[in-house]
Amino acid sequence: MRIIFGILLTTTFLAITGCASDEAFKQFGNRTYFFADESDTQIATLVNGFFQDANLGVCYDNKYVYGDFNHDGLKDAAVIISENTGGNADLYELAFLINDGTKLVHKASLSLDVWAEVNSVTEKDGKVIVDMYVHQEGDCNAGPTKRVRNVYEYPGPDPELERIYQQTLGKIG
Amino acid sequence: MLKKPSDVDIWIDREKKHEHIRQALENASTYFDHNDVLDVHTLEAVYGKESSFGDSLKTRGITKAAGEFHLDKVTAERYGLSVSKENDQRFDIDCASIAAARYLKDIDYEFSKETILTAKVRTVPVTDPVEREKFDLAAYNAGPTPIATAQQLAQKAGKNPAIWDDVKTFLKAARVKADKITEIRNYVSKTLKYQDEFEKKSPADSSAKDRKIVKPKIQCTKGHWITKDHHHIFICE
Repeated sequence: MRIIFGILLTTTFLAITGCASDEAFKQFGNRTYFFADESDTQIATLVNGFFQDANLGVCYDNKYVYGDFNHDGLKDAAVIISENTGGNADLYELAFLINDGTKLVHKASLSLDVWAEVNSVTEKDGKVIVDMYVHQEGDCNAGPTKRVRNVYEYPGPDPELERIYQQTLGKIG
Repeated sequence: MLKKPSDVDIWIDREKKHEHIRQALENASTYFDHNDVLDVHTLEAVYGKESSFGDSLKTRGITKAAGEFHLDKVTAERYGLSVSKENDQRFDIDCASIAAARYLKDIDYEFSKETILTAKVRTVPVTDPVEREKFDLAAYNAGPTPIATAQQLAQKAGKNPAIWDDVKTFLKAARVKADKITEIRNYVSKTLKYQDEFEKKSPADSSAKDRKIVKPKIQCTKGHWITKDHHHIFICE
């Protein structure tokens, strides 16, 4: 009985926190994300959680959560990714993948922190809660020490990401 | 009442206790030369800013930044370091400090003359080595391309692309994200502040860059790690 409870608890915990499963890794670590920032590279198709070209490096951070973030009754996803434009600074972002009725499409990203240490990602009432360590005065780059639980709401589709997506329609899977 | 020691005081204390750290940093500084203002105190400052002198190293083998100088896998491998769970030379102060010094020197060279970075982006030369160091540190943090993009935009707007204070105001126009702009600006100012303090207080020899380069012994790929006197040592099998 105790073992069954333990398994149930673990399963529930995994479902809530959205810790990576093999299936999730296949899905979120092998898909296309869009970037509308300084890099010449605006489309990054990850393979095994990783993308790298001369301008941009992108990593899927093995953390995600499902929810209905645009309140249309369909299941969306929010995924933690990091992007790097050539230095050692990795900017952690929350990427919203919105269900268009047939597939998930990267519609918006919100910045978390440079070198954030994300503990967990959960969903509540259509919002994403990210439990993480971020930097405060006196922290070295590798060791953020301020623990926060920030709540993020889907900001609506980013027109720049939308433009890039429309340009690439038909070119990517 | 006793004055609280600064970050630099704490790091110098560690450097005095573990002489090998100072030796490694001095040796790595031999990759700098008289065309730049980089020296062992630059490395001390970057080492402190990145990992608090080895206090926060993260996990071996990861793709993202890790180790003594917080280098990502791509950069570390570009400078010949082995990066795997079993043997990650980013965690070896001798190897990591050399890779960091070479990376800084390469960036310094890129900003010392016009350098093509991508099809659209090239650096604008910064002839003053003191000013150029600010660009070096910004690019160590954010990569040369966004910094050179901001230089080009500053130039177009009639500002001086060789002055960091002019260029840093164009990072937003270069479409660098807000969090990263704050990070880059703080990184440059804080690291230079650390460097000034190290110059005044550190026993490390700033003329060490005139010495002959001593390359660390080539490591094997099979073996295991031990930690001795806060120094990570790979034992070959």
